[in-house]
Amino acid sequence: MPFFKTTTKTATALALGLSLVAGAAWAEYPERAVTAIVPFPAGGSTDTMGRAAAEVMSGILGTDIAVTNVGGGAGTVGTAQIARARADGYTIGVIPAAPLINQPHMRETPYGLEDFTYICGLFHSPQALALAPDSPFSSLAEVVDYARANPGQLTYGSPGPGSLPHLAMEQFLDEVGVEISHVPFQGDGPGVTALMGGHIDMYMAIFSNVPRYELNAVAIFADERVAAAPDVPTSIEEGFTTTASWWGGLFGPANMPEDVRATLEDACQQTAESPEFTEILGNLGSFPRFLSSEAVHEAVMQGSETNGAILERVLN
Amino acid sequence: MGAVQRDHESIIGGVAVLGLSALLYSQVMPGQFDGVALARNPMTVPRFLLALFALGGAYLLVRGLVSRAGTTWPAVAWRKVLAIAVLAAAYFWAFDPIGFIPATLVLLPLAFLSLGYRNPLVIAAVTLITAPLLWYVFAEGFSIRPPGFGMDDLLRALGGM
Amino acid sequence: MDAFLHALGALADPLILLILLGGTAAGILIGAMPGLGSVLAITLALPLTFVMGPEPSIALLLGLYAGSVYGGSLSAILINTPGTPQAAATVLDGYPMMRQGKGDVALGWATVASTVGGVFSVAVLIVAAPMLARLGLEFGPVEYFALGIFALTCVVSVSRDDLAKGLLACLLGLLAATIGQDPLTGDVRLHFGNFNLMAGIALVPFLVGLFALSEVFWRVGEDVHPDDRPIGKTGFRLPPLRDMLSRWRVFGKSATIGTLIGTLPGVGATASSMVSYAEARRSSPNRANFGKGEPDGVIASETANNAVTGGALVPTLALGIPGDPITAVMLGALIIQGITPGPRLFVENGDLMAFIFLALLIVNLLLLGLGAIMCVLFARAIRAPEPVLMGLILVLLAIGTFSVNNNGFDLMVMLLAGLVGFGMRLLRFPLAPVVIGFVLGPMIEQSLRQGLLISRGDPVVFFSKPIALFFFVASALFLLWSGWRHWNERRDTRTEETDA
Repeated sequence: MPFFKTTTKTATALALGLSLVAGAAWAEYPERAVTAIVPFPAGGSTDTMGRAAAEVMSGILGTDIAVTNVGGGAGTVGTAQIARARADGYTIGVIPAAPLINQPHMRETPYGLEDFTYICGLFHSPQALALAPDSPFSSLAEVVDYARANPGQLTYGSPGPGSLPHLAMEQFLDEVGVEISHVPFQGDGPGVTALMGGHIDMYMAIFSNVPRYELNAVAIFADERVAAAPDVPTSIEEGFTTTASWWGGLFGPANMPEDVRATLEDACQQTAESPEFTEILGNLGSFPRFLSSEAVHEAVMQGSETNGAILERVLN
Repeated sequence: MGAVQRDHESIIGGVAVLGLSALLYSQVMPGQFDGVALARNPMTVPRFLLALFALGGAYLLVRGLVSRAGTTWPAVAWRKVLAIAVLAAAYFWAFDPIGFIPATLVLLPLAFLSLGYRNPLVIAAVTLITAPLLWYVFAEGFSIRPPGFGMDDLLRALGGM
Repeated sequence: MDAFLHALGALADPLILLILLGGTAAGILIGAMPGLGSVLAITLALPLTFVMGPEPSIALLLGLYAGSVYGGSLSAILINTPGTPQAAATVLDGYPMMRQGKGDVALGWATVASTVGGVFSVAVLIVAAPMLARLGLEFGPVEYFALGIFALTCVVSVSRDDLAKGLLACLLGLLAATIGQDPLTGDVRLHFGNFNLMAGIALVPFLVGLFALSEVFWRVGEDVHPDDRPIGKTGFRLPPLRDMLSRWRVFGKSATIGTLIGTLPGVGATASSMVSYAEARRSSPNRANFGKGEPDGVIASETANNAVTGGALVPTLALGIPGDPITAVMLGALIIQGITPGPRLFVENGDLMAFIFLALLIVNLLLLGLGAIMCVLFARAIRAPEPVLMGLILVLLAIGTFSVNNNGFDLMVMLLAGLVGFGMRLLRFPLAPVVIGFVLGPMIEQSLRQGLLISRGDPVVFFSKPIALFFFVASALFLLWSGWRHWNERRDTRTEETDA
């Protein structure tokens, strides 16, 4: 098993690291640079967001925060690396929810939900359903009615299998009990292109894509309308109950010292409330949303349960 | 060479391809995805490719067995290749857990020596300059921290003692 | 026109010029380091752009982009190691030129080709961006599949020495690309129970291992004496103008291929330079010399990969859809500046568009001068004794590859790919088809299955779209034609052999 090999690797690194820092006294956290792992490649939404958060947080903590991208496996490789890092608060992760609440239901991951310290929730962006430019529909209800009358005729795209938009759409389809075929793409770029070219009928996307690509959004899956697109109604207004967002926060390996976690949670709250962070996220079409340690733990557990049930149905 | 000329390149190539096919076959065997629609079956494409791959390997093998064209092998200094391959493997393995600087400090002199370079002064100078310099360029210039401890940790540890 | 004058004014600012110069130089340097590529170059600059204004940010990003794409050719020619995946086709003729002591000319050709490709694509970007962007939207899964098949046929022209081995090499690349997560269902496959394999094989370690590490093994095996330096003249020499003009067809064709492929999101510069190389190898009057140090090969690859820069900006600026991961990062940077690329950018922000066009034009011209300087510096660096050079390359490969994903497993992939590459060289399998298969495979598989999902399993859909049909017919004609020529040439060489 390769995992055991990595454990010995970590042990070796640990031994070496310990022998080095042994001389230094245990001062108050943080006394050196913190590494923030982003489990997605450089340049994506998570990465840009993570870098913005690191920039703001390093000012609050008074230490450097170096962002490290560990891409691969729809976020699972980097997430695994966070789970098996030293729980000293010097390695934390900026993770969107999918690798935690979706991927473990799709295959074996070398981590479980108990392998993390839940520091805080930090960001979110509602999801929106966009229609092809020449679509005959003008409201969510029309889409649902047509799909009910013609099961399997319509297609919807998502940025990938097991992504949050995929799961959100399936959850919605579950709610209304209709069938729309899923066509996954590799990220928003190819997916949105296919939508704009009319190759698929609709596309479920993180809201930030709507103003960016001037998409023909028909509903936002949120409780309230978003200022950047005041004309787009919410799913609640349209008479449905599903809401969905792309969200995430800061996580660390399990058993992090309590005071370290509290320091990070506090810094996270200050970050979420800083105008600088709000502005950067605003440009990306997302919003800061602070959740306490317990609240984000609860949200992950609940998300995992809901999405686990959906994935069970969708995949098999 | 022997009396019978053979196209050894094709024979070995064919056998290697067939061997690899057999190895991959264990991964695409019928199983959990049976009865899934073509477009939804993750195994459709790998199976198709593997079939072509194995067929091509068989063709190459037969072609090699039938052909009377001889093989002219390039002269390879196998001992050096083996030495550098083993060193590379050890270095890559140690890179993450041991750390960039110590692994490089060990690798470079060994690599130079095993390739027949014996000027001790140059070896020492190149080794001692390269490892910290690269670490600095990556950690500070590119803000990518190579694995293992770096000079900042070292200095802090020394200072803290 | 007003917008252009305004943009010219902005570009006359010495600070902007300095940033363009520095960005391009840094880009070349990063591109030349194996493993470090354009994405990294631009990501590094991302935090800087948080604090700079829009114009300096754009200048920096464009400099890094064009510089890094070009930089990959330096290590490709000098040490047979593509510095970036985009330069994988450059090694095929660039390094043989180097071995013949014509490294300086090869670098000259690469530099001229990069400039020509870049400038051409900027011209296309200025003239036809909105139109090309519309054309790109016509490409759905069906069209992508047809395009992928057409591009795949170029394997035939890069493996003319031994077609069977070339096709097998291509299949190896296609199979390697299927390892890991299925892009359509998310199931994992061919992973041998290994978690790291479940994430798939990354392009950089695979490519660096296949070309660069196997080259280290190969050169070590050649056993040159430690003090012997087989490499002759290196430095930088511009090819004579007459030669450049006489090769205008290769330049033109490669620039067109690069720009057009660049405008399609998700195909990428690596595929475009490979296709362009294969096309030149098929149609160039000097095709017999390909693989043995033919300047046309270097030109085809380098013109195309730099032409992708302008091409990839077409959908990025006109639609707000990035053409590749690199422009995706740039897009993020622009958005943080409060600039929203898209159809309205051309109308509402004409000054800025003009600035982008002109800045990219200047960057491409800067490549000529900076390239000349950097080539000389690099050429000097590789004059170290052979064992020292090999040891240092080993270290550079490891640190460069590791830094992409910070995952030790990538180094194992690189080692294995290096051993496979060495074995393939020994058995005279061509390496280029492996890369072609590896970069095209996911696109072909995904678009095929997406097309089937949309048509609910009806394969007829693939023959009902004009663009797709065009590519299928072109592929078939090309295969027939090369089969006919292959057969003819073999008959010719057979007669020669009996004569000798």
